[in-house]
Amino acid sequence: MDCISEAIEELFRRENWKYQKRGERTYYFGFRGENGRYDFWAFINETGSVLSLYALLPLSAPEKYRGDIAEYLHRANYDMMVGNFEMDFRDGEIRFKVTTDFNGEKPDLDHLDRVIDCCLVMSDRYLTGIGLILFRSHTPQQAIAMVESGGVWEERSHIVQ
Amino acid sequence: MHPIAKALEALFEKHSWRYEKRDENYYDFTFNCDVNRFNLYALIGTYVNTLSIYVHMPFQVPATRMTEIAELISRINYNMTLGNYELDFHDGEILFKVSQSFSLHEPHPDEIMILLDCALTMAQTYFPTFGAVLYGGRSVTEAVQHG
Repeated sequence: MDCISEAIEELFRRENWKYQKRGERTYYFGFRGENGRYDFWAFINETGSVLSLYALLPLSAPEKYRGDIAEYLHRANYDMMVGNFEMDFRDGEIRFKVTTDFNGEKPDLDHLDRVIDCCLVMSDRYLTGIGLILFRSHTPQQAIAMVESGGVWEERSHIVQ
Repeated sequence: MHPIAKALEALFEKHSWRYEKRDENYYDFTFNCDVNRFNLYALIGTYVNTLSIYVHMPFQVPATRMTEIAELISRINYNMTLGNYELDFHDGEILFKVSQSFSLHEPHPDEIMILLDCALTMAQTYFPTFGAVLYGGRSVTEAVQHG
């Protein structure tokens, strides 16, 4: 087993979180934030040194909203220190991705925990803006302004499965 | 394998739909619809020979809005012929559920398709209604009238 997989499984045992292993280097799990529930996928590359963590947002972009949502996600991504949003134009799926290269070393469990937390916090924070565009006819600029004026976001979210 | 499980798997295989079998009587699957992606699960009640299909609605109700959404769900459920919405007061999850009991023979996949179709149709129909209340600033009565 590669050392990233080892660390993931150790972290999940420590925190008593559930997960499914789907293939040798792929993990599937779920977390609830303040605003939604997120499916997570963790992929480890062939050399076992790079972890890509994806959080799937529960709302996706119907075709007629994809332009607006794309602009919103671009605005969200700009100046974002860690990770970025992606949207699949084929089906409107929206996800937040963080990729970390651990350089062949076993990740520190608390570091891994923070990576997962980052994914969850960002997804949960910006999900609201997507809802505002889809259901309240906000423009991308209005949605971003609402979301990013929402106070201190660096506080750790309460991770719940 | 339980006859309902056989019929369910036959339906998935007929349409080349992907699914995850979590255990003998629990299946997870996902559909991409025009309005959103929906996660579903199917539970087989072996003792009473039932199939229940649940759709996870992609919303989470904050604690402060539970009563409001409970009212919305009550209004939506009223007069609904098949299936109903449920709200988990513990975590704010909204599910649509449709169940059917079958006699002891293996149901035809088309019988299962009816349930699945109902579940997806209802999820898509009321998706904008929930969105209108949770994000769109509409009152429950406005959202139900316009939905």
